[in-house]
Amino acid sequence: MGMFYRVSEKQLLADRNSLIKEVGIPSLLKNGFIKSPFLGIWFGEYDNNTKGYSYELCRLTNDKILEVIDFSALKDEPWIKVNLNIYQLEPAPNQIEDLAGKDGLNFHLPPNSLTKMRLRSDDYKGPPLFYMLFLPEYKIGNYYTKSGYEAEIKKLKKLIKSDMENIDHFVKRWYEIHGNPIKTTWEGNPI
Amino acid sequence: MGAGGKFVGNVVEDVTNNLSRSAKGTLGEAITEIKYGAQGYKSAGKAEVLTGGRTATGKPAKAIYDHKMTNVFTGKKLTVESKFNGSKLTPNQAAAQSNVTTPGGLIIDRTTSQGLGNSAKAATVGTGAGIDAQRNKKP
Repeated sequence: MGMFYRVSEKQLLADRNSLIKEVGIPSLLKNGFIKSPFLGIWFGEYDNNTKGYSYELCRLTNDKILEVIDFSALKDEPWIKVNLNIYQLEPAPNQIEDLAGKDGLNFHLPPNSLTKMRLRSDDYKGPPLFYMLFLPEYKIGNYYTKSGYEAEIKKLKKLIKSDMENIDHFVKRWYEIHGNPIKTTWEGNPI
Repeated sequence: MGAGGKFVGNVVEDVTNNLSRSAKGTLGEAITEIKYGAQGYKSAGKAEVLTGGRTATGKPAKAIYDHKMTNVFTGKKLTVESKFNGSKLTPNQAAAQSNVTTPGGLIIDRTTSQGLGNSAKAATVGTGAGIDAQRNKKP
């Protein structure tokens, strides 16, 4: 038996997945996001190949700009990855349901994937050393006891809830970094 | 000292050759983190890249690479896959390779049991770097 408390990789994955479902997704739903309408997207099914879970949500703004957020939690690592990407669709859809059944695979391939911003990572300003040491990331940090692990989960839960409720801050940051969104068709083909 | 170094080198090579596949994978990933860590890179988890195809159930197929590295000073990002001895990319990894957009594309960092043995030998006798340093390109 080890000196320190250790959580199994299976439990670590289950707990991160629970965080996404309990606070990440509901907070985005409150902000007008919905489960991605595109064809065949991942939304909580276990992926045997990547050994993890992922979710995709979308929002169509009043300016008919498509904002896409994806969450992923993989086995054998402590991270929850949250990515944001933004596209200008042409022609502009009237409502997000117009995209139902379209093949959205191209939105995640180059060149569209070049503007993908990982939250609490790509959006930080300054040398990475600073934010890696001092600023929060979506990660279960070090722990040595059961209460320490539970504290890490609670901290991460609070961070994700707060950030997803304040997602417009990250959208604004995306625009600061990437400028205007790529123009694409409804299937993600760049125009 | 030279004979001792050769003995240590041979032991390291033999031991690593006899590790399970899973253990070799873990060892290779650890060596990659150490090597890139020395150059200022820190891993931010695994890299997920779409292959462009779909799974049997119609979902987007993904490849996983071992490390999404970020240089702590410059912010430069790398995608690195650790491989041990002669192991190859999986079919999904090979398919997704062209969709890796970080500088240099997919970097395969290969560790060999012979290379580890050489490094152990060199460390024991205090001489220069082993063959692996020649094999892998610098980012």
